Amino acid sequence: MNPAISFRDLTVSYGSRTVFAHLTGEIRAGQFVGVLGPNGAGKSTLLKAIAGLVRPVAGAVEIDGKPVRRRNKAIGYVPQSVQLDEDVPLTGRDLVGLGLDGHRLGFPLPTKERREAIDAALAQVNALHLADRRIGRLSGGERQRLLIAQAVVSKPRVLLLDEPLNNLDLASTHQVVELVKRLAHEGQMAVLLVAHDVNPLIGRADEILYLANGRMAKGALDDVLRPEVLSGLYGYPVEVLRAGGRIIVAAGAMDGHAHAVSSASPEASVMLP
Amino acid sequence: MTLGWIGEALASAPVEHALIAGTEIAFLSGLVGAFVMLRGQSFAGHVLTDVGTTGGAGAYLVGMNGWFGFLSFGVLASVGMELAGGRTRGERDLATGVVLSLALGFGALFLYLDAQLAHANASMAVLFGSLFTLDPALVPWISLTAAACVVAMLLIWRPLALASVNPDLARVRGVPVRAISIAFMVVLAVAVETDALVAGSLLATALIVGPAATAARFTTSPLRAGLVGGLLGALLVAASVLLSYDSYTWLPQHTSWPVSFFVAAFTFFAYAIAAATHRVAFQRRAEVELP
Repeated sequence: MNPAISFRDLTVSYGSRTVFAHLTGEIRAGQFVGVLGPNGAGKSTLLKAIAGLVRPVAGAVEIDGKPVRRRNKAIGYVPQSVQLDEDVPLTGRDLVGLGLDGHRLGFPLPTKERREAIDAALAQVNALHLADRRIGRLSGGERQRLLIAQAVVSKPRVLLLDEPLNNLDLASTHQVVELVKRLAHEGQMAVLLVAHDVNPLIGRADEILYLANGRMAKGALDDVLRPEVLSGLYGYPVEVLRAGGRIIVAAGAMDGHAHAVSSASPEASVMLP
Repeated sequence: MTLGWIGEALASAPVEHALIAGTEIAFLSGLVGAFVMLRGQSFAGHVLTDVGTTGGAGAYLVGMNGWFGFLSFGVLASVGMELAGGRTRGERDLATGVVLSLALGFGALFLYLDAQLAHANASMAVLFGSLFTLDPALVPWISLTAAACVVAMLLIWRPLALASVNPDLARVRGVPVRAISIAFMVVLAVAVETDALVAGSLLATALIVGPAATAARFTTSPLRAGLVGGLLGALLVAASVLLSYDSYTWLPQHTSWPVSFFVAAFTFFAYAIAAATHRVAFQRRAEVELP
């Protein structure tokens, strides 16, 4: 069976600046992968390239074994957030409905199937009670759950979430990550979630895809978040500190000595150009 | 008090023209207003009227019809603003601000020259509206334009809504987000610039923002808010036209009050009533725990 997402030799440039080069990887259906890396490493760009929104200068992306194309119902996309004023007349049901048929001209017919599809998506994210409330009056976590419902209502094979945890409080962050994990495993979707903090993903993401310096490392969290792996990516010494079950990635050696940048660990696949 | 004056008003050709053109464009404005709220673009609406003022004032100066001046400048500005929109928000607002100052500078010059060289009423017509002095030949064109814009809005309603709330998902699904944003800006420009005939360039955005915001107090879907806002706007303009006609007899000096005054007053009261009767509860329910 083909992997849900596969990319080979993927290289993206903006003008003369290469964001990343020669990335190769696969994500299986039902797999939840957290995408990490410093600002500007190309996390969002990788998502957009996989979605077919950014044209790579080299390499190719395949969804279910076929080249990625526009007009794609197989891909759901969740943005950082949706900002609306309190009074804007748009309900949870409206928002989710747009994910189902928002690309069509004219108006949706209020059919039973349409209603049931929207209700099912709302139920999947535990947001049936938000169906008739205005988006602008909801909390950040509630909005994010509705955006996830909007992305999954068309029953996609691939779910891409671009920093969905930004501006969320801790409780909502954990709720959203749990929800995404459940959707990936139960709905057999391949999920890529971009985050700037690894901690909410510990014990929840199946794999980590770490982008830095135009390169990537992919594998189980404990295999990727190691000083020798990340130092190899960044090209300078990087420390991975663990305290109380939390992980902090810090630049530079903490003991005052420059750490040797070792080669990639055998467990994680590090792509060096 | 007798209402015989309404029949008398309806029999007058300028009033009839004012009612037709005014209500049609008010309906379009309400419809457009729902999306101005959804997209947070009321600043763009103000910019478009300001630029339109320059076009309107310039048109009078060269002896053209004011509507064409408003329209051409507004549509050019709308496309220009949308094309500049690829950059960051800060850059875009700065660029808009600089271009806007230049446009307003020319607007000031044209209005001054209008008053000095062309006919003295031109600047009054540009700033405060000219619904009763509409060229009758223009009325069918306004009707046609408004109808075309209403059809276009209803046609692109869904993709425009998706592109407004989640542009990346819209692109994934094949919606031409850029083209649809430009199309909306052009329709917004047409609505705003034609409103300038009704309420003057000073108050043109009142018909975009007011009725839609009023409707949004008691409707939750964008389509219903747009349709209710459109009907409300048309009603407000009709009442304003009739009262403006009747106001001729209100003062011993016999002078009509401007339509724009009534539009602004009605819009305000409609919003105030809706806000008072549909006071929205600000309670937030607790987040529901996921299993």
